Amino acid sequence: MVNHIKRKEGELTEDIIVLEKAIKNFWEILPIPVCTTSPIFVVLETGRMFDVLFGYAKNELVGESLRKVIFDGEDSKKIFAQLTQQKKVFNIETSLKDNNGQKIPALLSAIAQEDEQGEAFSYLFSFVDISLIKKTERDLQEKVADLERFQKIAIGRELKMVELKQEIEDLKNKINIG
Amino acid sequence: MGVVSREEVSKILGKKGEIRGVAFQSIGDFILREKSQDGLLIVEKQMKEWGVDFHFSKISSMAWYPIAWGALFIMAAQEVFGWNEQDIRKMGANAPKVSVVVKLMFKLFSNMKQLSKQIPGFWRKNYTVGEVEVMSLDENKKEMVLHFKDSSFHPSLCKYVEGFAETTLQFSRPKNSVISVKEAKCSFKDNVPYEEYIVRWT
Repeated sequence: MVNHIKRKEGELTEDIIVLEKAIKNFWEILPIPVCTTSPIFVVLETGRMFDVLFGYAKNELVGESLRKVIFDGEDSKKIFAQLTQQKKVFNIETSLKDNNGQKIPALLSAIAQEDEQGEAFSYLFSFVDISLIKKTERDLQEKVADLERFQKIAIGRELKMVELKQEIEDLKNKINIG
Repeated sequence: MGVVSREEVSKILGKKGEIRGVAFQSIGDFILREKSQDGLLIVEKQMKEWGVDFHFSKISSMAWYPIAWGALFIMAAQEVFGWNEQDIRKMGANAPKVSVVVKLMFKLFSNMKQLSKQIPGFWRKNYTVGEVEVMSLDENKKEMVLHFKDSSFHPSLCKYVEGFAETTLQFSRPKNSVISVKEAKCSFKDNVPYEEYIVRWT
């Protein structure tokens, strides 16, 4: 019996070691910035891409409030309140702040880790940097505005041409009558 | 002669029990940050001199190792770098920031009562000997008394525990809340069979 328990313990330890390595690799390779926090949103663990996005060294943000990377304090209050209540939020558009204070538009998702009683003991956050999408959006808006301006000018020109043509036609008719 | 005597080392090496590798990684992280890779090699050399053939790079965070090695890893760093108790406290305070057990397995409830229920289990996740008991919790006075039993190694390590507990508990407290963990009774000084720590928070 003792041998059986010892064998089980040994196997469990081996399994945990494998799982732990897998989790570590997952944090390292995941191309999306992710982090975990305590129930009061103190950062506990950050993935490599999280550190890259915000410009912090490994573990530099651990122990700090996640509010530090959310640009608007009111925004973070609203998001955290919603998350506390619903235990899950998905693709909330917000602005983040990197180590240099630069604004990063992003989509924030998060889910609570709960115990058997449904009590949250940590949160997992993910952030999708939408700077490029926002930039493309702005560029497109500018192009649309340019096109609209051009269209206005072109249509104006077209109408003037029609008007002039009509004038010529009228003058021709007058000459012929005369 | 250094800070740690041969007798103390022999006594520690005689201690039974095991500790998770994650503890070594937390200690190693601090040594690497403060003294770089060369510093870590010096600590390993000191451990070897004490009879422990220890290689930090081979440690796996969830595997079990002799508990004496964990204590001696801290003490070897103290010995070779001449670190004082405050340095050891800082080392302890850094540990939860790199501990996968604290960050993934410990349920960091913001409610002190709920959190206090996790503490004994947390000890068992990391050590096969000794235990931590929450002796009292006064939420009005904002004070908790902890007893660490059968886990006395060296007075310096009490400072490590203070720092470790302080950071871990701070994870579950608002940023403007101040946590302090102070050793009130020590088995090495006060003729008691435990270490008593008083946790206070604002």
